[in-house]
Amino acid sequence: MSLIEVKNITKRFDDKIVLDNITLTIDEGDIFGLIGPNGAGKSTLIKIMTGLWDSNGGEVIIDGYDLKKEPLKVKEQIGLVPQEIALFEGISAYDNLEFFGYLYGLKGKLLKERINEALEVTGLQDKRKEKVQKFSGGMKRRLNIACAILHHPRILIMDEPTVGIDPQSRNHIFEFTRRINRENNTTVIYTSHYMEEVEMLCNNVLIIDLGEEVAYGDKKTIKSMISNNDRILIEAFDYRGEMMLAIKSLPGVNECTEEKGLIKLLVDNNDFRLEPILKVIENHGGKIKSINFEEPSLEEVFLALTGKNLRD
Amino acid sequence: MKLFAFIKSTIKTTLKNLPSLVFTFSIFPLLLGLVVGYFNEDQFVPSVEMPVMKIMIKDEDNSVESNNLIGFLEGQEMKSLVEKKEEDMQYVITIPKGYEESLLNNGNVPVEIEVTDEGSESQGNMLAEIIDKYNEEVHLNYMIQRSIEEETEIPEEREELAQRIYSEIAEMYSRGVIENNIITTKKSLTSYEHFSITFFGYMLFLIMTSLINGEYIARENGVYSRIMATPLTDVQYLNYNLISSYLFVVLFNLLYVLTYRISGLSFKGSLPLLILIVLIQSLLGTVLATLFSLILNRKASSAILNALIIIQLIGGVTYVPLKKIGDGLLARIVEKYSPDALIVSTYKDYLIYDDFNSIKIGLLLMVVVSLVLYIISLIVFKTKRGEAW
Repeated sequence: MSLIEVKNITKRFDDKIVLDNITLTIDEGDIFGLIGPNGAGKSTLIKIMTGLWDSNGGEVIIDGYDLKKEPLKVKEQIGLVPQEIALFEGISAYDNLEFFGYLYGLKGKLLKERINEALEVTGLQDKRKEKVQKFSGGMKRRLNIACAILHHPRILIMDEPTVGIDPQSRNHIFEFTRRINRENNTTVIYTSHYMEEVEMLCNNVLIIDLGEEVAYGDKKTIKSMISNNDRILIEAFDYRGEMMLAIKSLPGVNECTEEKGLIKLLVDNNDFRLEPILKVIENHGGKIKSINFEEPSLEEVFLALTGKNLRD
Repeated sequence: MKLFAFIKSTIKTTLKNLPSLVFTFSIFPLLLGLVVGYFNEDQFVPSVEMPVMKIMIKDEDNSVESNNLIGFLEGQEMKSLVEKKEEDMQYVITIPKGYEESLLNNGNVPVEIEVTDEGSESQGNMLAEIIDKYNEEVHLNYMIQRSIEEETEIPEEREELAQRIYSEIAEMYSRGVIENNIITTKKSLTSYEHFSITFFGYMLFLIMTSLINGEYIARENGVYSRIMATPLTDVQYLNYNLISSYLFVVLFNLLYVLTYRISGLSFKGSLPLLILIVLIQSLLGTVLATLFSLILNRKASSAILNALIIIQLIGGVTYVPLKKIGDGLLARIVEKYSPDALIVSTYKDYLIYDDFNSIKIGLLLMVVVSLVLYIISLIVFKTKRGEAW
């Protein structure tokens, strides 16, 4: 049985449908990506999954508990990292953690241990007594995460956790996400409109737009929805003659272009073989420096399926 | 522990921002009250300096008892309150024929008090009350004396009983007791007392504004969502938030009244009663702020609160000049319909009468209104569940 089952969730505001019959399942230990442009319904779905809002139809089952019937049992298992910096700015990092720790039922020695652990994991040990309002954007984001992991949730929902932060803090968050998933087997739901983040972290993905499912499944399956074509980038030098024409005539090669020694190929996965290409380059006296294979990005998938860019 | 978390967080936030909070909610309104109170001091009649009533007495009965009444009014005990004058008199007291007979038999004595153009209706009523009280006690004394005579024929015993009763009655007419009666009937606030209440209302609206803004910020910055994503029910959130806010309001309200009390300028009555009013009035303010934040958006609540503050301040500051217009009708309207009317009237009653009976209706009303507002808040909160925010 899946850890998270979302079945036919529908949400309306007056007559406007903001989520239309969304269904998904997430297995324990997965890092699941929820993708969509602003206003797609990602945050609405998260609010419904965490019991903040009621849906107009459908159900959310987490670890066998129906969210509507046993909301507290469900909430105990979830750690939410909101999109906003949801912290009390006027008090210290430690005080913020203590507050949310109490709300998750932690107290005494255990609470102190968990606070120290969360501060260590997010790299904020030295800042524990500082007022949050003095923190940088990246530090606030990390504390935002720390507050959600105090109770060792089985599910961590991270809503746009890297918005507006520096690359160093962003990397820290990626590392943390992988680490908590690997070491604690925490199931992570990661929403973002930075496709490269989801592409890098997540195994399975739901793409939504205007409240509707656009694509759902593992990354490979989703990418295969739009094309069987892969891109190959070959960096070569010292080649002579009509090499490009020879490569273009090989079976499975749909396109072949060259720019400053970088040969770009668009190939059909079903017919393409690498060996003949290497042979052609060798026959033309060329030396190969590097070969890179590229799949279509999720950004391209989204563009192909909806006709618009994610960050429009 | 969850409630403790809310309370601890409120205390820590308060402590970390204590200087600015103390300035905003205590020093600033306090200074305003002191400055405005000082410059308006001569507009108010100090409570202990009652004007002496100028009276003329017409004795149509000319009996022993009517002479006793005149003696009482001219006596040492009444000297600071009543002055017998033939000219510019403010009150004409007529002791009608048959006064003694009525007094001794049925106690129903129609002494008339005419208020001249120079006199005041309310002080005339006070005078009537004093005379009524005197007549009542004399009648009682007479009845007791008659009972003593029926009780024993031994003159020594009669004498002893009578002496005891006279001394008790004399004690009843001591100046202090009468003055207390008068003060109970009519005591006006000093300027400091008046403005301490006016700016207390202002301060309460400021605190409410602060609470409401805090709630909007919690919703906007996601703290509300994060809290509600923890294992906490709607009712728990509402109650814990309300309790921690309530403690915040109580703290600053107490700070305000106690500063005035220690300085000796206002809120000088019974301390337990003062604390009781602060506790109940703080409850009303907190629940009202909660409801505002639930049913109104930020702009609307800000506009309404600012309007309330302006109306309340204008009413409080212009109260004295308004009293002089149209026989005080305008002042009474402003007083009655001021946004903080209930709170103001309760504190005024406390300052004037200083007893539970005079403030109990105000307190009860505040509790009932708080309860009704709380129930509405609960319904709104459970219905909305944050979706409209």
